[in-house]
Amino acid sequence: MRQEKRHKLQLFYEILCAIEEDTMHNEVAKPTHVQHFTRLSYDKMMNHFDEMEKKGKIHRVSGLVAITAKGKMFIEQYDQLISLIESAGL
Amino acid sequence: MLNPFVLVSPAVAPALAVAITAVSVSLSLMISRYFFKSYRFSGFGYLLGLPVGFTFLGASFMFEAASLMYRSDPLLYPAFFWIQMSLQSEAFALIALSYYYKNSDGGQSGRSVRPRDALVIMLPLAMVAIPFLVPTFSLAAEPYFNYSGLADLSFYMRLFNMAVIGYIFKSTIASLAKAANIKLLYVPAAFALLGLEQYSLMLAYFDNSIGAFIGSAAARMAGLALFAYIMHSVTSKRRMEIEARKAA
Repeated sequence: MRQEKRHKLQLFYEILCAIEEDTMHNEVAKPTHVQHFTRLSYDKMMNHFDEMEKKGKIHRVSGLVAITAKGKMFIEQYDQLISLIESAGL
Repeated sequence: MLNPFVLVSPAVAPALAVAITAVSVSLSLMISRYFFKSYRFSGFGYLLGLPVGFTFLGASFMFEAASLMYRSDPLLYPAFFWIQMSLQSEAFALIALSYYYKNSDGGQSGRSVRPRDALVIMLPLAMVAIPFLVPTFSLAAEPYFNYSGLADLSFYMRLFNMAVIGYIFKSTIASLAKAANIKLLYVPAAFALLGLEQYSLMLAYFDNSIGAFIGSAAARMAGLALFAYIMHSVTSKRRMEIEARKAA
């Protein structure tokens, strides 16, 4: 089935949620696990990682990723945004 | 009668106007702030109509109260009423625009524009232009403020407002049906109350009824309060869910 095109904010959100989910079991998340959760190509995911690292949402340590406080804040704000949009009937 | 507050006893009208305006403006700005924060975070262009629309709505209530304060002034009274009328219609048009652009693909589908699509493109432009152009044209045609002309114009602008609110109501009901979530009923209810306000003001225009005016003020405040309550409860509930998830 063809997947609907995702907005960049949604992609960041899904990546961050996947990292957060994976770090519940381990200290840091494996990119392959994140790729599995987000259904992105590896190249695209790495590009998003670069951008998110520049924005301070994640940090990478020897090929593994971890979410920062700013990344957690982003998840909260995105959650609120979606609730607000849904409740406004948009 | 331009400003319906003049229907109330002159001894009570200023205090009543200040109280109703203070509540309405505070609620409008509160709603606007919620949407502005969302817009600033997401950068979704279609969201911008909501904070700007609710700010315009708040400003229109302030001009309504201002016109009452200057009701003995032959120039400022109709001038403030004219500004209020334009701002209010523009506010509803901007809010409707947010729903319009959310539901349309914003011309991003890549296909060429066919003649019948021109109507779809022109509709939002007309929706925004009418509230500004019609009162301005009316003023330019008769450079002095014509009381009865303005009162008649306000009737047509209220009809326009009701049509625009009707469109918003339809869009919110469609979202409600799609999401199949009864909690989403509050927003259409809030817009229905704002539509009821316009209807009551039309009744007050015809029969100068104080009951219709009080009903319109009550419907307006109830609609805005309901909207603000939903915005507040959604964001605070979401925050509590996140806190609970963190604690678990």
